[in-house]
Amino acid sequence: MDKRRVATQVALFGVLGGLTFAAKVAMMAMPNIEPVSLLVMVYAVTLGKKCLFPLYIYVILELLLFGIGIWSIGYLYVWAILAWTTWLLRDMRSPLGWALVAGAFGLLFGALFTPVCLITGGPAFALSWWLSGIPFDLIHGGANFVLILVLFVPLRRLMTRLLAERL
Amino acid sequence: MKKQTKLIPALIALFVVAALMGGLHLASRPSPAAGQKSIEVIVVHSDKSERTFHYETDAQFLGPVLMEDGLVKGEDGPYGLYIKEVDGEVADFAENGAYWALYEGEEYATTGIDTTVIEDGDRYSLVYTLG
Repeated sequence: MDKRRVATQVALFGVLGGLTFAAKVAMMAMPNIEPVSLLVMVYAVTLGKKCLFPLYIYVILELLLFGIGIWSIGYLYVWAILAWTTWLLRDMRSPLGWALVAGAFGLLFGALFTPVCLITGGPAFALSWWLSGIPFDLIHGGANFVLILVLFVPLRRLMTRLLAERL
Repeated sequence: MKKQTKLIPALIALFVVAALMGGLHLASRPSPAAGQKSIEVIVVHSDKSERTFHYETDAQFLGPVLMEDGLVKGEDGPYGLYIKEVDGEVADFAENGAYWALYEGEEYATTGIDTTVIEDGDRYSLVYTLG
């Protein structure tokens, strides 16, 4: 791969990571209604394994700006799980299918953090933490479902075209 | 269209899971008890000094009791009341990652201060914590 192409890709991954973080911050006033799931899924189907670069740039920005705590451990793997799942289903074309994936991810978001709670506070704490966060998971699942149903297919098409033209 | 129809069972399953989760949350939520309650709140400051406060209250949730007394100051955020100041000490997350952590007994609280249900004899700690 020539140096110019590498430089373009590095710049692109930085911009996408920054864009994801900016979009997240812009929507922070709405609890658990976030654009990160949508963008991670679009990156996964269009960039393949390279989606991990913008994804972890976003995670690093999140940790740098919001601080590192026990919950940070979860951020290191939850988005990668979504990216991996999306990549496995990359041939799917149905907007409803993608909405179901994103909706399920939103519903399971709290549950995906429970291994961290299990290690740090034990089974009772993990269960109590998951149960008390269920209202936020329901909002997350519903918002993800709608956002991805409407935006995933057009964004995927746009990103695929731009990557083909510019890279 | 045929492919979309195939996804209907998955869509129904998603709604069923969401409904079950909602039901589980409602069933597990502690119900606020009426009547007089006696509680203790320990504040652990950044210099590790401790102050203990006792309250006799009819309130059902912890947040309003401590806000009314002026022990806690904060602002409403998307996830409920965000504690900024306790017993005159401000924790500024933007400056140094500091925040006020709430404990119920020895356990880290799994609910926000304004949704923590008070029971008679409860002991809480507000601990200045660096993230």
